[in-house]
Amino acid sequence: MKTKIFYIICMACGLTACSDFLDTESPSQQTSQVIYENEGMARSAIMGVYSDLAGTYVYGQKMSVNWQGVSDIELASGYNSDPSKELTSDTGAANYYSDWYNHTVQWQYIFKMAERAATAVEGIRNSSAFKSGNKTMQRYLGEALTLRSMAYFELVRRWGDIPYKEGTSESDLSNVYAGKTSRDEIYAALVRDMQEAIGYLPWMGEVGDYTCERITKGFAKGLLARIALFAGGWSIRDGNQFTDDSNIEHYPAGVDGMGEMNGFYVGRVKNWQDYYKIAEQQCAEIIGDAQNPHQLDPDYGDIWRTVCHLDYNGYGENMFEVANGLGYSGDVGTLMGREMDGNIGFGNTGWGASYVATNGYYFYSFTPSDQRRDYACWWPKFTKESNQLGEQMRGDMLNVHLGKWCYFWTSDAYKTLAKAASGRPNTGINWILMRYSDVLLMFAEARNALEGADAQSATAGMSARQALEKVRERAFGAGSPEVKNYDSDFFNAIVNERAWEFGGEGIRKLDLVRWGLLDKKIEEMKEALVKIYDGQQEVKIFDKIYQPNQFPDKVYYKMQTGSYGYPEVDITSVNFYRQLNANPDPDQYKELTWVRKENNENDVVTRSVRILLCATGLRASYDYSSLLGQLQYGSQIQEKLVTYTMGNKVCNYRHFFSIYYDDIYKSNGFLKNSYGYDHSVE
Amino acid sequence: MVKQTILLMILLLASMGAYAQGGQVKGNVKDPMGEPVIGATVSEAGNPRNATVTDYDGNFVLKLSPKGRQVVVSYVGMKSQTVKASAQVNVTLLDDNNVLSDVEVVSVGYGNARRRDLTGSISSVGEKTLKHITTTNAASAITGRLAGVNVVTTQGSPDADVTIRVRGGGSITQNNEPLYIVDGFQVSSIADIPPTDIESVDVLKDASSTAIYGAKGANGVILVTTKSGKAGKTEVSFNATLGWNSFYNETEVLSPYEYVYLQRELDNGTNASFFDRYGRWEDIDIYKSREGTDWQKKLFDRTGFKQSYNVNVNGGSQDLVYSLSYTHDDETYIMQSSDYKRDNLNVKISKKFSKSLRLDFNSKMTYRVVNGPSVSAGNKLRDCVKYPSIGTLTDLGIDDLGDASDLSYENISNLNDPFYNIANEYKKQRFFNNSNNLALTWNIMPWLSWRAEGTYGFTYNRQDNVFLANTGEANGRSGFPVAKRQYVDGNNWTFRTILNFKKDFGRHRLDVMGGFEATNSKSNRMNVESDYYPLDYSVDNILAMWNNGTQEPTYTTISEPGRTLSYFGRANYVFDGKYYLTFTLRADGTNVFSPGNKWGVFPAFAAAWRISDEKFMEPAKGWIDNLKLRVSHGVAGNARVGSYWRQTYSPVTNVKNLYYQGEKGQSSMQPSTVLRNDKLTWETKHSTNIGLDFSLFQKRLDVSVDWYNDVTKDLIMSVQLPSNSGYNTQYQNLGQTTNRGIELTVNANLIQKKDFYLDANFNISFNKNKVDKLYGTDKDEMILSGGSFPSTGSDNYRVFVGDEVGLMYGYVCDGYYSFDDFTFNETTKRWDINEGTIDCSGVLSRSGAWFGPGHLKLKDLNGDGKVDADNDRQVIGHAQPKHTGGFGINMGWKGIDLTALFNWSYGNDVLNINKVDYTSYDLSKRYQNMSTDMTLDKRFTVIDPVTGRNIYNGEYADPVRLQELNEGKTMWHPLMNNSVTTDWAVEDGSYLRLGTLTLGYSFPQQLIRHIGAKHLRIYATGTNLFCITGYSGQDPEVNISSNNMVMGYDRSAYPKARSFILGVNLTF
Repeated sequence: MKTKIFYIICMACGLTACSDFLDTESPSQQTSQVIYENEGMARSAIMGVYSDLAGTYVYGQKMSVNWQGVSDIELASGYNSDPSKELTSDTGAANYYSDWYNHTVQWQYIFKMAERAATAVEGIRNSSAFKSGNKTMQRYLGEALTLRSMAYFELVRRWGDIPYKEGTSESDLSNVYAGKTSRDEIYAALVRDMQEAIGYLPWMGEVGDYTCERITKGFAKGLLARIALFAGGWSIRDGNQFTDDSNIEHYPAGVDGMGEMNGFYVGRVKNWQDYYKIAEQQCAEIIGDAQNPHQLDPDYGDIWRTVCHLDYNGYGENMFEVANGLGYSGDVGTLMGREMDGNIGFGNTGWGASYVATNGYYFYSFTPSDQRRDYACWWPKFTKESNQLGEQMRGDMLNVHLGKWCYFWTSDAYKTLAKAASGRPNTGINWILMRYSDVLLMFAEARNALEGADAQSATAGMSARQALEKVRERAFGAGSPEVKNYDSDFFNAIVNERAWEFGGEGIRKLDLVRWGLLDKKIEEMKEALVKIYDGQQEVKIFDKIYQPNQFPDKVYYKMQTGSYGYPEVDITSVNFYRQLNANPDPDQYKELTWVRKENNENDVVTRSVRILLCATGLRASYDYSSLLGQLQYGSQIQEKLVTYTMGNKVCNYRHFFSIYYDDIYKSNGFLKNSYGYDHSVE
Repeated sequence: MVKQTILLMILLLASMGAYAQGGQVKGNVKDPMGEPVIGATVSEAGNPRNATVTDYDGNFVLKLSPKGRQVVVSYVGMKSQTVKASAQVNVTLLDDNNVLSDVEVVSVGYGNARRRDLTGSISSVGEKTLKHITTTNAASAITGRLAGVNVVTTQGSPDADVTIRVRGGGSITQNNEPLYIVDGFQVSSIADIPPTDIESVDVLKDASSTAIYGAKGANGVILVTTKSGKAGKTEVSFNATLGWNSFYNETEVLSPYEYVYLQRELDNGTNASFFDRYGRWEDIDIYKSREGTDWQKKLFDRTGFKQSYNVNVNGGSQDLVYSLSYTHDDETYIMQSSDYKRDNLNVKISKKFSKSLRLDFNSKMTYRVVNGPSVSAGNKLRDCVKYPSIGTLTDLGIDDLGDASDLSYENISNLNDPFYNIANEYKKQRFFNNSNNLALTWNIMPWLSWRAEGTYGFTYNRQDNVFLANTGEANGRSGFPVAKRQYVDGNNWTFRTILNFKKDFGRHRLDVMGGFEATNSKSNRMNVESDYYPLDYSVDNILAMWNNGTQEPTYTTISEPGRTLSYFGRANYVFDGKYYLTFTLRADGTNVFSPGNKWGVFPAFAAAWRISDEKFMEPAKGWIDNLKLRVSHGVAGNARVGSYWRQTYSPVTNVKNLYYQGEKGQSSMQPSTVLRNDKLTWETKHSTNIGLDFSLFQKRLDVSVDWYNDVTKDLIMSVQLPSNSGYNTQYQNLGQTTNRGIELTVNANLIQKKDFYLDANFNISFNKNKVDKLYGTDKDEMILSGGSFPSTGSDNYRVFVGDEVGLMYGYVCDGYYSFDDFTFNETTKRWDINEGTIDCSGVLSRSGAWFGPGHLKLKDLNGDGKVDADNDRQVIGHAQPKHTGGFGINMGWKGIDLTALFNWSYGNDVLNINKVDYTSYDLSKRYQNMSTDMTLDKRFTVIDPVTGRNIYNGEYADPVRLQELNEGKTMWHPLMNNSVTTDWAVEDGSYLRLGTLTLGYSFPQQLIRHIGAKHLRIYATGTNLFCITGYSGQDPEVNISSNNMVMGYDRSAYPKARSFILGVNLTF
């Protein structure tokens, strides 16, 4: 009997106790060993990385809108009444005031994207499909490498030195608890990765669904050029954490607002020209390649009308767009663009808020005939008055809306949705990460720095000057004398041209950073604006000099029936550039107070204070006494100005974001904020 | 009842061998109430082998041997009687309370043991205690009743977790829940078991007792035995209750006038938008007559009704007993639109095929419907407190917007309209659960038995969620309704076989058990989502016409099964009925760890000594009835984590997170946000227990004392990773902790008269917890966060090596700055800090020009003149209680019974973050109300009540008037734009609660007999009637954090309710 029992027991055990009973898996949750052997699943994994691109903290909102920051031509929600108080908001960070409690600038999601891209890189590299030369898998690797580089590139140019690792996070955390890697090392690694990626990628339109919403060869090369320019550019450095500066060139001493303090100094790598060569070469190769599918859209406005309409650009101008989904992602347009009131029949939240706005300084920097001016700055507002829908002219020099995104250009699907919606719909408007004009201008900039403006490049088939003029040709029309009319200093011409070409596109502030011009340009803007309000002396804006009477007290404008059937301002009728002493024809012309309200001291003082407070987190301290000494209401302005805090007290040229407190304390002591963000140096 | 049933079976078995010769005795046995005693043993005096048992009517027939003159009648729990044999013997047995506890049978895991034979530490609650408790939840039924078992109802919501912690739960593991075994089968929760079905609850506490469950037993084991049938007459019982719940301890908020005044203070500019919103300052008195909306009342002040009905039928014959129980519960909750319905059917059948073969079948079926939005998610109570009680005069403009969000109150103030939020979210959860157990027992030899048991269960759950306008989900779809449905179906099976050898060899008794067990559980999921429904669609429209929205991708998930494989054995050796030795060994394999780490082996041993049976104790026999010493040591394991040793990919299911190439959401996969850990292995608990049981004075007093020392090694915990890893968390074998403590249980049977009885019970537990080690890179500290609030110092919990867990960490509040600390600067028109004043502006960095007198002041702990995060924080609170316990009385007089049960916790702190939240103007969010901690007569004010102007700084600054106005104020000004964790928010969470008070009346038998009833009782119960505490929040028994090292964290928990219940028990 006993044997019988044991027999039964053994049978029972034998049924289930086979050794693989505990080896299980979920068919729906596979590991990378399975996924990257299968083209379909590998595509989903790559899309999983792309989906991070459209996330709120990546290009869905933060990097496209909230984090553009204050430059000379871009503002965060206009001029703030006291930015020094805004230590924990995007507005504060935009004005370079922030501290480590500021959760709105956390890097968590960008690192997540970097890691996801890195897992894809690793998975594809290890797959037998890739090893056996599968072309699809090679393209996926090119995309994964680029996506990973994009994430690290954004991290390093917004936070500086950051924790960096080559592969994926190790299970034993050996590469997770790690201190900062120097930005120079990271840039070098990104350049290497991008060079590899380019080899795998097809040109736009060359293969299947490789549209401008996917990473293609052209964009990858342009991105490498952009990375290289940043790698060779200026930035604020922490000499306390990175003591070896033998490879670093310090910024020339004696420049206001750029001086070294508390071990923080502005510098760039000594071999910056090597990077410029990479940039020059990559751009030249795009320009000169017979297969290059990218060209300038002859109509600058068409770029914006098509992107708002959710269409692809017919000329391949947009080298890469982050694909937002209508109703699901993207705030481009509603949060910045041509202003429209809510609840007037086009949806109840309105359009074109001023999260990123610009100013009259930018407007007046343009040559009037520049086609780009009215896409950069848009004065009128679409509203409803006395039951009449239509545009109204607005004249606030300190809060001018961007003109690149407009409700009337959106698709019917968006309009239908917006009209019915009770909340703010996601516009689905793609965020353009790079346009072909950028490639031309990067080429011009790098080539000029290395070889001068007129040396022909055999690869590109053009000189730096020709590249610049190609961009200007579109702006002014072929044959216009303005095409060749630019700053005699070619580098200055590039600096100005990039401002005119890319305003509101998230490019300007970071450009200025790498040129070492951020502080200088912002101060020039502030000086110009207070002088415009002062109305007593000539004003320098970019390459132009204005006399006080070129800023009218009032503007007069005509209305016309626009293409969308509503009354709109006839922009060409506005006397932006000259003082008129009376309404030319009160029957035809409406009028609006422009620069000065009649002798309103209070208004001038308040505005001047706001202007001067702008972006004052950038330097350690400010002294406007010599500027104010030149002004009519200088002492009144000074009296008010002293009641505010200006300067971060710790560090000059503080263009980086703070590292969020949470990220610091979770790092087990490996990370520490630089630039005074943790209040440790004060 | 189970004791009796089991004894009955034993007796039945014992009677099998009886045979008789000689004269025949007939008789009948009754109890003092005149009821027949079924299954009483009647044996021939001097010849115990000749015996029989009474039948259903209490009758017996016994043939006596020629020598037989007397018969002995005995029955469990009653005094035996010896009577003279005659043709007809009628015996009335009397109750014997003394015997009962001695033979009381306790579940020990894969078997039972007599309480007197236990070697481990086990707490039990029997039916006698449970029957006076009326809750819908089995877990709350044992609150305060068992020493070393801490039951905390974390929140008052219908779907709230009741957390049970055996011995401190201070083990900082990822899952502190004990293992639940119902009728021998593992379940994930005992929430579904109607308390009326429960016969007994046994809690295994020390390693020796739990080791038989090996891997799963580290946090203790809770064994629940449900009622079984009894051979005999069919018995029908009916129980019904009707009760109601109510809200208490509302947070008092500012009146409309004070609220508007506060808004002016927060928005104090000359051209402030305040005036557009609320009118001219001169007219502010108008608001004194305004009536504000009391959102808390509106949302939570509903009287919740609960009804419960239970019918139980049981009975059977010699070889077939059955029990059938059906329960229906229906509850509504204090929050609007939340309710709960449950139907429960429990069938138990036991069939004997022959003397040696028995089949047990048990089937449970539960259908549960929970209605109402998820209450633990979201900050509903907070919204009720902080949402303005009155509206503004005009709509808010684009300038009022803080961040890139919709233009509404909600987004400016970061609050949600409390009512819409509830009313516009529809959520219905349905759970169907069926579990079937089958067990075959074969008594092969008298000393050898074999048992094979299997269980198969399945679940079908469905959850419907519809979000209409003004809910977060709908706002993410431009305000259009969103509908989600989730189906989860799962199944699980267990197979187990056990061989048991039990034999006496003279004075030696050996009981050896060995077995094998395999478990498997898996579930599949399907998520369906549609959105962009027409705005005017109602929930019913959407549910009826799902196709009218935009269909989003359907996601299906076939999950990885959870599997374990175990071999276990236990050997008991008893010598002379006095010396006990137990050895237990279990080997467990689980699929959640990587190959090589799958198996764990857990041994344990225990010994006990019944000192009272020793000769030298003879002199004390008169007053010491029982004295037993128990010692045990053992290892138990814990592996309750998912499978995280590989990095797996899952689909991106949030349609807002997809990549819309060509305007089409691309199907995407992403790796989990939990980083794999291929080294993860078993957490083990090494536990030592020394216990002493004694009963005195004819068992009038029963006392148990246990001392234990539990060392938990390789703690498994989910650890937050730095964000640069790209992951959120990782499961790690983190460190080692020790829990050491003493438990005392006293049961006193004070008075036992015919018409009057009085019992009292008392238990108290002291637990001391210590973190011994944290593994990894020389860490001796772990930083934890209670939640994302407050904005400064949200890392407000710490674990230090050498200290206990649950340490609250923060700044020390030093009131507010006085006028002596600052000097008014006439140039800048603001306050300059004086030389020598402690500067806390590095921490509270957003105050700007409001940093001055009246500003919150923090202590400078290291004396460097400034306050900073690294040097000026300390431990400000201890969440672990010094002791917890319960006491109660149970008395009866004639038909009236009264039970009162109290429970307490002493010496624990609660971090009342609500207090900070309700008094701060965090992140410049305007239009939020505050609690009455911030009334005008208490807080430092910065505006002149006459002019409404800011006299603190700027052009109208008036330091003299400011000082005059703020004479004697107790609270700082609310303008600092920051919130910070300070000791001000730490409060003593000690409490004494009257958990239940029950008053019942049983009708006299004579009265009810003619309606055919055996027993009829009506009663009234109040639960949570009062709670004595110094805690200022809603209730001190609270914790909203899911992190086990974060304890006593109160932020917007669902309010607890007080309830009253009327009920009836009727048995036929």
